[in-house]
Amino acid sequence: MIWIYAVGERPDLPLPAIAGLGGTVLESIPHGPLLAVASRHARSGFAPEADALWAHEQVVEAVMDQRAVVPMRFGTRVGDDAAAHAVLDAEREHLLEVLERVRGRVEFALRARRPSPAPAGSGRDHVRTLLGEARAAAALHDPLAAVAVEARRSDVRRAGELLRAAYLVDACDVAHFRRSVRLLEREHSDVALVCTGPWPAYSFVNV
Amino acid sequence: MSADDVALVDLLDRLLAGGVVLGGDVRISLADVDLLDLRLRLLLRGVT
Repeated sequence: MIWIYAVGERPDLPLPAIAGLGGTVLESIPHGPLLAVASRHARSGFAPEADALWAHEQVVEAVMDQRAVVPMRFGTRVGDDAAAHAVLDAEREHLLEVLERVRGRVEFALRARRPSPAPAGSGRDHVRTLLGEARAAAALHDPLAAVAVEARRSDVRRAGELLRAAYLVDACDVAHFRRSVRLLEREHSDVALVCTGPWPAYSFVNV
Repeated sequence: MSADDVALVDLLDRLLAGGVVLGGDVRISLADVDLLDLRLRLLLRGVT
């Protein structure tokens, strides 16, 4: 099985000196202007456990430090070299397009939560609460989206969670983005903000 | 939660729900992500 971490540009550049999953040696599979960053394994896959997830992530980040990359979803793998070339060929245009979009950009993740969500009341109270939360989420999201090149909100998943979003930020705007997050933290002291990154652009590679 | 644990939540969101799927051989679904998320939270609370 060949595990694929990312597809990048500049197949002429050497890969970073970093081990792949299970301590394997990283390999480059060049295909025209693209390369797949991969490793070979006798086993059929890896379970999504913390160690394996971080190992995959470290490879993508190391490659991202050198060149534009399209990160693969954890678990992306092919049977052999012929299959790797076949998918690179089939997705060539799409991958080149995405590389163009993410070049020189990084992703930040933001989650916002109210530590003490309002208790459930009447139907009218509930509607009022929902409206208030939608406004609060927009007040956090909009200023950050304005600094980002692209922004995506996903569904909130927990009680009290106001916002779960990803921002694609130009490398030259990273400091500005971080300042904006700190400013929001001060302005909205009733909300717990968690911002992580920079990440490879995982949330912006599927059109 | 330590900084690493906090980042792990976002890591799950990215590696298991984001990224490009080449070749259609990824057997992780969004339901798995929620399950992992839940397991992670239980782990962090020391419930498991």
